[in-house]
Amino acid sequence: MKGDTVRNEDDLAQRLLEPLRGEPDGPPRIDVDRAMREGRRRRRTRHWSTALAVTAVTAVTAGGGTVMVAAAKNDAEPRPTASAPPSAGVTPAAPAVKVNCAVARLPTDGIKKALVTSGDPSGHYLAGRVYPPSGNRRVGVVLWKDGRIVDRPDMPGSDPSLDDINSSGIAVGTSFDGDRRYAYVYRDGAFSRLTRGQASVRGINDAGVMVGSIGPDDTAVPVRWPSPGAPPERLQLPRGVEAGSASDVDEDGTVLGSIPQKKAQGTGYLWLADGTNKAIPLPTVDGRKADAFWPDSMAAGKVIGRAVFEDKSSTSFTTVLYDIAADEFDQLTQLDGPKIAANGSILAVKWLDVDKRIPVLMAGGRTTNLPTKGKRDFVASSISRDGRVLAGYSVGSEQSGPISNDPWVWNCT
Amino acid sequence: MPSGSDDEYLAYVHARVPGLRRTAYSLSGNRHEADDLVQETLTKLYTRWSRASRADNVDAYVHTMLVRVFLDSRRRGWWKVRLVGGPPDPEPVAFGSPEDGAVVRSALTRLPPRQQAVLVLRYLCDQPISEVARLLGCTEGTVKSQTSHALARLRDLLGPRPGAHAALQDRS
Repeated sequence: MKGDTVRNEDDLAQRLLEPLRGEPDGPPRIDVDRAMREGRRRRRTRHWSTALAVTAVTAVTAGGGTVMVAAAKNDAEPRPTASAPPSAGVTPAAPAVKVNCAVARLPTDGIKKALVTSGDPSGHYLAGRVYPPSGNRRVGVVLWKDGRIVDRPDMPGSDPSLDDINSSGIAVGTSFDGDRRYAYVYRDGAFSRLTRGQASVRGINDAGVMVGSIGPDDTAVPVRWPSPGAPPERLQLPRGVEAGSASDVDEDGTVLGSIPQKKAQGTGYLWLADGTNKAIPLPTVDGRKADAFWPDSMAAGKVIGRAVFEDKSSTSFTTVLYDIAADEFDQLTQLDGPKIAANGSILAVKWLDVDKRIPVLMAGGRTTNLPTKGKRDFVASSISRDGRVLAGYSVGSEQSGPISNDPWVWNCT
Repeated sequence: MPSGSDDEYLAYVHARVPGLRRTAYSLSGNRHEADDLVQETLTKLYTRWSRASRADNVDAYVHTMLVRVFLDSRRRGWWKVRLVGGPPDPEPVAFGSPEDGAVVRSALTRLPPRQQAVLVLRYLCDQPISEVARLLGCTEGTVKSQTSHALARLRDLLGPRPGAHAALQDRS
């Protein structure tokens, strides 16, 4: 009898709930990239309470290499409170001049939710994603030139993203077919797949050299494509290392990437223009050697990224700038997602308050808070080689809810 | 840039988003809320990816997270998460046919969140009792009793109905 009751209950439940069966209509409005960025922010917020304190003047050394002490300069901006990132001296990298930047929302053909994902060195081209309203069409990509939409090409695959673009307007990016990721280059109005198999392309320079990785994600190896249409060339990995990825390529052909480490997370690696390759040394901050270096971007022989310190239950970060030729590190004010320009200017996001992160431009020894149109959180996407055209997108707002994104460009004089 | 780890995360998430979205939609009955639930789950997953990716059953781990995000959102009120200033207007239950999904959903949302989750996971996501117990962190006995309570309450809210009524009478 008990079995009958259970069956009857099951029958009842099935009948009652049957009208609720169904699939969500329309394309998903799920932003995996944002989930990762927000996840990183939460990790840092959680860990800062136990992170190493970093003083205003700090010796930062390359592993076993040159010692350099950054010029101390107190950060005059308001300090975050509970989740304050460590602050440190800033080494001026360009002539000290006052910078004025005007902000404008990039046009999106009336689409409310959009991102800018990359920009070219000249400052003319930007690339992004648009999320058309549900029921219309899937997430797509967009190209802007001088602040105007010039194309909304139909990129093959789902969840497409253009992750870099060069001064000729040639863009590269990846999309998915099922759970497989494929790499594409966009030029002359058409997409072409870079490699038949699974691949990811992350960077392109003005000479048309592209870098990324090929193979399934867990066994991908770093590659460079000398030009669109050329087969990929595998980048040499150190002995005993079987996987890795390339994320950026400098104008001189230097390739930035990362390789896995045995015990810690992946760390930065360089394939230099002279044909040699080397791991980026692990910086030492306050006498402690980092467990890894995570590069964020590269330009004109400098790599900006994070020194990573892993403890039993936490990971903490310090922003550092690596000069490849000098083999030296500089410690910077704590920044999120920094992008460096060829002239040394840096676009990044910085905590202004516990719940507010704003874009900042570091140029000529000054840190300038960029205008934000009232938005409270940002992601930095690109900076032109002269540091005058900056792009990024805002995340959420009190007015429109937590899932909104708007693409912004700052023109600086 | 933990690219290996990030790549693994991306590959996993991309393959699982449709399934997570279906479950989230079954739980919430609202596409926008479903996407928000999945977005929050993916964010939490990323913060714990190094551990989650080593779980014996990553899918089970992630679905547990999703259910907890749903329960949290019900406790706080999804409208608070979305910051739109107030809860959505409740749908009337007394009107319309029980065959109408909106009516059933409206009745379902009047149940305690865990009872909602029990019914949805068992009968819309077709999960066995043992799995629902694991997802909710309770015993199988609790799942069964919550099912009975939830069904009785749901039937009360929807009113008498051919077949459904007879099935309940059989229980006594």
